[in-house]
Amino acid sequence: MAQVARKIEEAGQSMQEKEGKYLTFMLANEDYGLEILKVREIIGMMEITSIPQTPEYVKGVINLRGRVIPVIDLRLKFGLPPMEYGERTCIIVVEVTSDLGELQMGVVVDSVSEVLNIMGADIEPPPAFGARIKTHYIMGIAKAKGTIKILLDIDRVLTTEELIGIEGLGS
Amino acid sequence: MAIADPVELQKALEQLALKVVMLAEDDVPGLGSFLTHLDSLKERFALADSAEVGVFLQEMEEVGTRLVLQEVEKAAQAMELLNHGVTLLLTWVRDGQVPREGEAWEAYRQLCQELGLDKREGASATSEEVERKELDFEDPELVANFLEEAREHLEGIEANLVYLEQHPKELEAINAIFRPFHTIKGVAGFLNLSQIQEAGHEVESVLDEVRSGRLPVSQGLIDLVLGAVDLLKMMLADLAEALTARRSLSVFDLTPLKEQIRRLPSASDGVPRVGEILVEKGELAPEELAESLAAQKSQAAPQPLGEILVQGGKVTPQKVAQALVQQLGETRPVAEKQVTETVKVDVAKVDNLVDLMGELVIVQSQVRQNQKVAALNDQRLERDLGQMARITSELQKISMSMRMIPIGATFRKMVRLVRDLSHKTGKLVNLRLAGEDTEIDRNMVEAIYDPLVHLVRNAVDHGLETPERRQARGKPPEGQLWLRAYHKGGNIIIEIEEDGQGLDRQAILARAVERGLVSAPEQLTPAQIDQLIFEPGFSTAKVVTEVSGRGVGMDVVKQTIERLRGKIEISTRPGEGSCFTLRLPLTLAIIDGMVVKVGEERYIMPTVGVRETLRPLPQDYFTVKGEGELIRVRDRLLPMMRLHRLFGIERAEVNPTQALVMVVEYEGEQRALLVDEILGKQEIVIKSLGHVFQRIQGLAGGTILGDGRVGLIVDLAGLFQLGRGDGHNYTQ
Repeated sequence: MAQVARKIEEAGQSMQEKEGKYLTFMLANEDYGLEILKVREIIGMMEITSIPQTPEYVKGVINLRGRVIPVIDLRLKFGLPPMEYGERTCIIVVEVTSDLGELQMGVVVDSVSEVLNIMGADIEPPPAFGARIKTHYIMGIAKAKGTIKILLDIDRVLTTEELIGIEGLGS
Repeated sequence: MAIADPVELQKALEQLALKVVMLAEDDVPGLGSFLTHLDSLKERFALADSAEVGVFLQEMEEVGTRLVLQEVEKAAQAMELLNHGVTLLLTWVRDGQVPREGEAWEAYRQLCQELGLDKREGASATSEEVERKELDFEDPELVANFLEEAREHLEGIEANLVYLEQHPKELEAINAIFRPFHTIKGVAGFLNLSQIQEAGHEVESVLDEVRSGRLPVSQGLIDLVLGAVDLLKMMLADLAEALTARRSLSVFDLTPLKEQIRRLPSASDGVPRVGEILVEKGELAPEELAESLAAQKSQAAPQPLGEILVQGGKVTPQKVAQALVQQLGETRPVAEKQVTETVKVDVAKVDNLVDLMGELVIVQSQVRQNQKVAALNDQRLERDLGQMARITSELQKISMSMRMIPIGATFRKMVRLVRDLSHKTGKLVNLRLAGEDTEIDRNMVEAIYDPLVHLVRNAVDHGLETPERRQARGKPPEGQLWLRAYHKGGNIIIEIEEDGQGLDRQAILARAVERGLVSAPEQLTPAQIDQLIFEPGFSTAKVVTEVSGRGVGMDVVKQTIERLRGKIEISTRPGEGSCFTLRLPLTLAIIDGMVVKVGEERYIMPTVGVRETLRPLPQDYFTVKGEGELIRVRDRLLPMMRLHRLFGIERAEVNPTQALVMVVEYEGEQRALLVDEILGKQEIVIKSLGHVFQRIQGLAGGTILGDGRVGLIVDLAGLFQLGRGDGHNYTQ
């Protein structure tokens, strides 16, 4: 009996896994979500020191209480039109897991909305747009409050290969 | 099977046989040469192709290897096996066929079995191993602490041993060796590390004998204890590995150690004997003593010497008693030294503390410089802020010093090295240490260990002469080697000085010319010639080592030191000795930097690389083919690199005559670097940019500037490469 119960539990887990709290934010009028467990903190815009020989979406580095962490602009990363940073622009500090270990990184977003509790039943697998639009960093699409939230797999958005190989991509 | 070249093979085998005869079971170099010989034989005559001989050779090799590793319990049998093996090989070659089953084979096979060649190490060891497999560390942290502690103890033991060797009468030195062994044994027992405990116990009991005067301090004893230290080090290394890999411990063979201990002479030379004391005091004539000693020896159950003397009426019982009291007095243990109390702290915690302290200092200065705060013009506030600044900088200093450790531990490792070297080369060396308490960043300590070993080795190997040659030159036979450390002007200076033969400039020059390192030898100053030994091309010549007096790999030493932002200098006087001076920054975490502005960006140039700064006049600026730019600095033309172009910075000053030119140097190459302006010079705490930006060319790291922003530190090596265009060039 116990075995059967465990089997059922395991089957439900893949769906359940994505269930949880998400930090939602805006990016060019689209709603995005990040697993709350990945988020370390949210800070206002601060002066960013740009790093030479890096692609445009790598904005540079900031001083986070004595630690130097890289910052990327998510708009530029997703190929959305750039926007002047304003009052509501935020840097979300996330913890990225890579082959080289845990890494703190800042992502620039238009504005932070709220923390949402999203049920597993409301999450759908990422749609296939064909080769035109890359969806490998989308964890799923959540329906909530009459709109959709694009749930990002932040580990895949900022893959190390990309970040480490950045100097080769000089814009 | 046919033999390729019987005559040659026989010759080679005879040589091998000769080697075996002269081998001793503990002669590791001899065994090593035997093994290489065997191996080369196998290859040269393709002996391994034959199934029978191949297996046979493998067996011999294994026995040899295990002898070297001291894994064989029955060393005598193993030696015999090697002997038999070579004999068999010889018979085989002579008869042109594999020897028939006979006595020789029988003996060989039996020995094989006794040594458990097929079933590795026999049953007892396997059962022990199974037992060990179950051992998992209940408290890995405790074991890790023990490892660290034990290593420190062993280092101390080594240094004290060498000291004891030179001063055999000093009981404090024996105590200083005895105590750590006792600690190691005790803690190992507590942690259930039975083999370490056992080894510790064996040595401890020997040392106890020494302490109580029953064993003399002899060369053999020192060698034995040093050997035990090596064994313990191996055990600790194994333990460390086992701890990380979560595997079981290897089993070490303690028999050789025990065997050595058993063979130690048990006479009590270390302590003046009663007889000697009496003779010294004039109570007893030497002849009488000899007589009584002979009498003592002839007895079946020897009586104490005192009794014989008294019985023989040679001295009164009181005198003997006095002598005995004196004897005891000399061996009475000395009071233990006071030790400062310490707390063990995780290095990461200390690093974190240092980081945060740096932060605090910056924030503190930000507050002070805040214009609104300054506008308050409040005297009291000013004073409080000043007070705060003092406390924070004091705190920062203290937290920095927590990362500092005395260089003594590193120096003490050299003591052992010098002793071994002096034994190997037959040179007499008196090593003197000074400034062991000088403190240095713990990261730095690890980094300078290898270069230091290299320099010390060189000093003994090539710097100091043999006792005969020294005497021929009118010097005392014992060579002096000084290791000194001291602080000077924010640097730590380490000197390795010896009173040997000095550098042979003639030979160096000849070699350098031969290797094409210099074109005009006659123009070089003596100092420049000395510098030649750091040339990479120079060191590859192995032959020159003997001739020139300085060895291989000095270029590596120099590079390592320079990577640590240090400098190495030589001063040498032919026939009188040389001195190598290492000048190193106290810590790797701080550099002196110049903050420069380019466009809106600020960069930090390491001050070490900056020669001068100037604003060129229009007539000092030239272009080549409209692209290559040159700046004339006095009478030299330097190629110009534009930092804004290399790094793709916008809104920078493009006109050289309106901007600034920094003359920067890396590895002797000078270039002009164009920047907008210099904002200041300050101490920079280096922060890593993380692995993400590790490979960005031209950047060495980052730092937090006074206003809280991140400043990037320029790496001149990378910048020069970028400038040459052989890096990943940035295209705007």
